[in-house]
Amino acid sequence: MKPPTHTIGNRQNRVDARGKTTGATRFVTDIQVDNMLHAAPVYSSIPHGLLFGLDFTPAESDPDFVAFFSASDIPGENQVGVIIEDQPLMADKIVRYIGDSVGILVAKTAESAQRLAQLVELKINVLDPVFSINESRDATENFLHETNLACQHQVKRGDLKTAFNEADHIIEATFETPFQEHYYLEPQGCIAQPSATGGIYILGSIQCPFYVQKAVSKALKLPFAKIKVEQAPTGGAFGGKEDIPSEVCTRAALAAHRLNQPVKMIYGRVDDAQLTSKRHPFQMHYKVGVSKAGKILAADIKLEENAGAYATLSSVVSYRSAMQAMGPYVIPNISVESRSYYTNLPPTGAFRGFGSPQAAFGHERMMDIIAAELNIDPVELRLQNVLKVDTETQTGHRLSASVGAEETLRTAAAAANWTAQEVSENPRFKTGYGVSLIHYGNCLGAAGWFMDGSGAKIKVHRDGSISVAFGLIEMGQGALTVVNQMTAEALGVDPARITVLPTDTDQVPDSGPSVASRNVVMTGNAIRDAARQLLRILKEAAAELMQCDLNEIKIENDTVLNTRNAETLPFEELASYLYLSNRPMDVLGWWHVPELDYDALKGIGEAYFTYSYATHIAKVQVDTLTGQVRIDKIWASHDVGRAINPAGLEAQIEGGTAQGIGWALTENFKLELGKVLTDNLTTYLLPTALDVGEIESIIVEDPEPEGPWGAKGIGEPAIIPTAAAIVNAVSNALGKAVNKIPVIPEDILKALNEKSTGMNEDSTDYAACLKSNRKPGQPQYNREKPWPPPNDC
Amino acid sequence: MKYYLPESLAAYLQLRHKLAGKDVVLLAGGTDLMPRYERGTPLPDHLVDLKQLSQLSSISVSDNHIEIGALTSIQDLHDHAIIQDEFRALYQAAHEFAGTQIRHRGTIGGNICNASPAGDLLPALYAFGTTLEVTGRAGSRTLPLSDFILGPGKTALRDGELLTSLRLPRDHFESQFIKVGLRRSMAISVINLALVYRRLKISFTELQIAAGAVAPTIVMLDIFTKAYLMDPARLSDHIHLIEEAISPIDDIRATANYRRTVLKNLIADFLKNS
Repeated sequence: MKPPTHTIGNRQNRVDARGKTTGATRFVTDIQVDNMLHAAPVYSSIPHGLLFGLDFTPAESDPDFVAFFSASDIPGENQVGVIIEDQPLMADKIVRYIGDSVGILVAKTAESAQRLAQLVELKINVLDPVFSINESRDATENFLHETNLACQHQVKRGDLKTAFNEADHIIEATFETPFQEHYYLEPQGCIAQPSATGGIYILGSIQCPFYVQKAVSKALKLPFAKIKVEQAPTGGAFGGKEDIPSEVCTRAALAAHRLNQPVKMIYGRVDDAQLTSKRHPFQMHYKVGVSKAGKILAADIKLEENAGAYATLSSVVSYRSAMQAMGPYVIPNISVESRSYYTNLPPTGAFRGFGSPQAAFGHERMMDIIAAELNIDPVELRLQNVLKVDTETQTGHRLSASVGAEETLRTAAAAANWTAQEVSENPRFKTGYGVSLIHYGNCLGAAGWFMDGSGAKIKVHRDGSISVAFGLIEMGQGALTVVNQMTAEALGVDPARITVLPTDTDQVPDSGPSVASRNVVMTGNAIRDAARQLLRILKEAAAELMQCDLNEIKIENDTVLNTRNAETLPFEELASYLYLSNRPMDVLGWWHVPELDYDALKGIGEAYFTYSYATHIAKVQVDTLTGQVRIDKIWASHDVGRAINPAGLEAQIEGGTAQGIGWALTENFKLELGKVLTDNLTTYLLPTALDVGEIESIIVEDPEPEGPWGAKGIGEPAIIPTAAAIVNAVSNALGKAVNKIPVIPEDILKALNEKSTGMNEDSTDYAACLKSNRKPGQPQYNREKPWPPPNDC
Repeated sequence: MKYYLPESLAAYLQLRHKLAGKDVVLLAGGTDLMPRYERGTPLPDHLVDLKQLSQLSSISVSDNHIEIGALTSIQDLHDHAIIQDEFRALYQAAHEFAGTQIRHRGTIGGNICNASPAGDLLPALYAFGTTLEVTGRAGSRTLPLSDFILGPGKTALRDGELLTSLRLPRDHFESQFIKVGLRRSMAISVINLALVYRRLKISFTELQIAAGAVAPTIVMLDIFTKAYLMDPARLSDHIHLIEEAISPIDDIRATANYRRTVLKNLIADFLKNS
């Protein structure tokens, strides 16, 4: 059977499915190395304090004890902050959260390491901790770092004052979103071992191998060239393995380097929950001016984020949430201020969406509140304001192509039968529909442009097999499969020829992090670049062999074709000739994001080079007896430019949506005085298949000219609209604004019982009522006729 | 820690005699013990694994009773035809119990001896009037389940004894199990309850309600059901009797107030609408 001419757009089975299904895949925890020692982190159990001593003598007498290392053992810089240098690799003077690492204990077995780590005594003078955004912002002394403000970004565009004066309605609301735990199934872990070069070789569960290389170099004072970082098969990451592995691997590397022996460190689940980063909780205030007809004229938005003890990637989260704060709408006058504050909680950092799901909750709840206020259908209101080609984003970025926002909205509304919504026949349940529309800036954006380049290396072997190395990684999202497909497509060969290699820092130049939904765009374009170069070499060789002109050679259907006489040559023969004619067999392809015109001070310009768009519509049932929310169905329509592997794409959409459902409803992350209470799967409730309900994926393809085959990113857009869609649906079912997640049964019952007053004390639409002259006490929506909501203000 | 694997009930009793007064923990399915040890609970001095006592994992049916071995898995309980036909609430509880792996490993005896206030099988077992057989070196004794469970994690089991079987009368009641968790499967109950009843047309002639996760042990709502059966038309006047019978607490899953409200809502709804 002939291989298909094209692989792009085919539903492809994952190339790593067999190993992961049968259990043959070896994760880092499964891998044993000769003479390997085991390490466990030693960390503070006090949220804030001055560290004046460490005593490991109680552990030392144990026969399994090998060594204890702390800050004073670090030969290089004691610094692991990824953007802002505020985080010691091992705390030596101040501990800033429960989980702040002060050392690493090495023992003969993993169990002993865990046990002995508990025996190390930390001498701490306790300082007052700060846990909330408000406490941190308002503090006048005892700052966590030089100040409590970790970072800030803003957008200032147009003339806010005039626009608010001209607005028919000014509507305000406050929103709150919580922590979220990544809960990758495989906890953090790595093996660090001394290498033949006199440096270090690290194998780990890692999202960004180049970050790890840099961190190890800095702490161990070793040249990058002597540090090889290889990604082991990784059991999920969701952003949680972006910067955290830099800490984990560097501490293990320090031990391995000092002991000259391999050291494995795997976090237990409880440690992983307490020590590693989470999604930033946001509190948001929106003030939006609209015309009577529903045109958005102005928005004044304040976003505040709980950064935890260290900045980690707060700066990126703050940037992205500011750039996208009012969503995919035309909005000529806008002010956004986004600020992250330090607290004595586990650091918050990278998490699928990078502040976008939080901002989306703000702007999409706001759109529904406006729609209710103006008595306009929420889909209609969005259609009136949505971005199109030749309009400008909130940062003033004029869009020239690939703006599928409107089509996602129309396709989702049509699929959900939005204009003829079903109502529960059982009076126990209240049915609600909610819509949410988002955009997502692809890749790192203007703030990260300097590192937004990636590589791929394609090598043809003399037997005709092909290997591809790329600088980004597979973490469960399906990268290996699309890299295989894109390489096959670019070269015109059978995907079965191609082996995609595990990512390793020795193979490809620093390609930046595997984040920001940038894998397909970056790696796809790098593959196309490599394929262009390689095809030239292949065609030259083929022309020589087939005695024709280079331009007459075509490689397609896995065959070399001389178009002059239709003569063909198996690809293997060309590969063999390539070798025999002493030609280079491999090439490096590279692509970087086009330069962006952006004014960082005002936050105006091309914040990102292109955007993905998505609409989710949720249909929910609210149980009036228990306050539980059941998801009947979510329609998820995504503009991805071009679907490379529709099967993988749908899986991404379903996974992201499920994670969004968890954030909105079941994953009620709880802390007490800085200690994580929900530190296992019994108390931190991920949604099960029963909770997720049905998801209908709709793929919209509005090609991006700069994307490989037109493709844009999908990893993060999948989660961003979900929570807002669900809460809009719940609000519609209740006839009452819910402006805070997670939506828990207790709060729903309370809202149902408060119905007679029509006001939810927890929700802040009281302010909105006052501003828009609605009488407090009047319900926002009519409970008898929840849809469309009447204008009763 | 020392590990033992007795091969018969006799060997078990012999072993326990030898270990009299010692720190002994019994291992059945292990679905509660293993996570507890994983989380750092100190291991006992002696761990006795019961998995070889296969004579305790069968279900036998007579005209008037069904007798369930204490080591019967939740899955076997779930799959049994008589349980499905005549003890619907128990079947439903087994059906909603945790997940597939745990249903296959976990045992009915383990769920009872663990004596969790939220144990999912317990309300149905209480409401069906279960009695237990407990075996020690001196022989066997029987006692009602409600006398066996004394508090969270606390039972009337004496040193050296073993819960060997359960006996449920075949009274051919209708029944219903209701569980409220924070997600739709694999969740510890915030509330669970079993209603066991007989009806003449639409009115209830007999009614037992057992509620879980609302007190240190399962609560039989006898005062409420009695008042309700005497005067079903005045349901709303009796509802406060539910609240008076229970003593829920705030925990990581829900507040006491939520538990009170939802329990009342669910019972009232059931009596009005089923």
